[in-house]
Amino acid sequence: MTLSSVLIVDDSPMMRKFIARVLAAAGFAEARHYFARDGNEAFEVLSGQAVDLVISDINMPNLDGEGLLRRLGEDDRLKTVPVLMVSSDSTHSRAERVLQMGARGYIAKPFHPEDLKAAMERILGVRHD
Amino acid sequence: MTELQTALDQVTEHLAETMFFTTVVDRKGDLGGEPGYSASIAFSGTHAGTVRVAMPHSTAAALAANFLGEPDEEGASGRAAALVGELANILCGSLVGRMDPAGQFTIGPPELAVGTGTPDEPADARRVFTLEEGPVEIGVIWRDQ
Repeated sequence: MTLSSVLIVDDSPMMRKFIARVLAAAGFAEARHYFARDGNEAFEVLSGQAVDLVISDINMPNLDGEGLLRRLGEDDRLKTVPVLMVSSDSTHSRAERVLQMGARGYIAKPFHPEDLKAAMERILGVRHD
Repeated sequence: MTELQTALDQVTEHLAETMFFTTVVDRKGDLGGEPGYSASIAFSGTHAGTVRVAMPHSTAAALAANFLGEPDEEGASGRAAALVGELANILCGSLVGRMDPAGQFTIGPPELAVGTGTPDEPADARRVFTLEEGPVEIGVIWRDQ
């Protein structure tokens, strides 16, 4: 399995760009990148475009990351899309909650680019060298 | 040194190395008189308080270039100011998690201001870190709920 497309969800343009940069450096430059500013936009993208992975922030306006997980879980077509949560909230309770809600991984900021790469590989079951 | 000050030092050094690809070269510094930006973030929950970050424009522009992997655009003050907010946001989340890993917090949006200014109230922990790119002042107010 390879990563051909990824959706990056974050209300911060800088963080969206940073994650795209890390993906490129991690060997995923060929993957098609989609971007969304919140959960609502992410759901719209996913309704029209299949992706291999969603990388999402939690604290966002309108529909936050937990809301996005809930909506995906209620949609038969989208509930299997893997979601990796990336958040500045580093408390255990937050990580446990989103994992129970169906997120496939959780990374607290600040993270080393290698940590993001490793989490993605765990979820996708691939090794990119 | 207090637990809060130790946590602030550790979180700042980790953040600088992992996401801004730089290092803290000194834990003493001075913001000087250069124009800059500040960002304050309030948090509430099992503890409450504020994290405030301030730095000169030149430091913010250089850190933005590191963060995005792109050279500074001439006059890109919006990008430099946004960087200060982003750094404050990450730092706040990491600090509250370090101080109270079992806690539950709500972290507000960054409030950006032009100028490095002066905090409204004295911080419980404060440091001017000197990074390779220049000085960064971080102050934390931490209250038990």
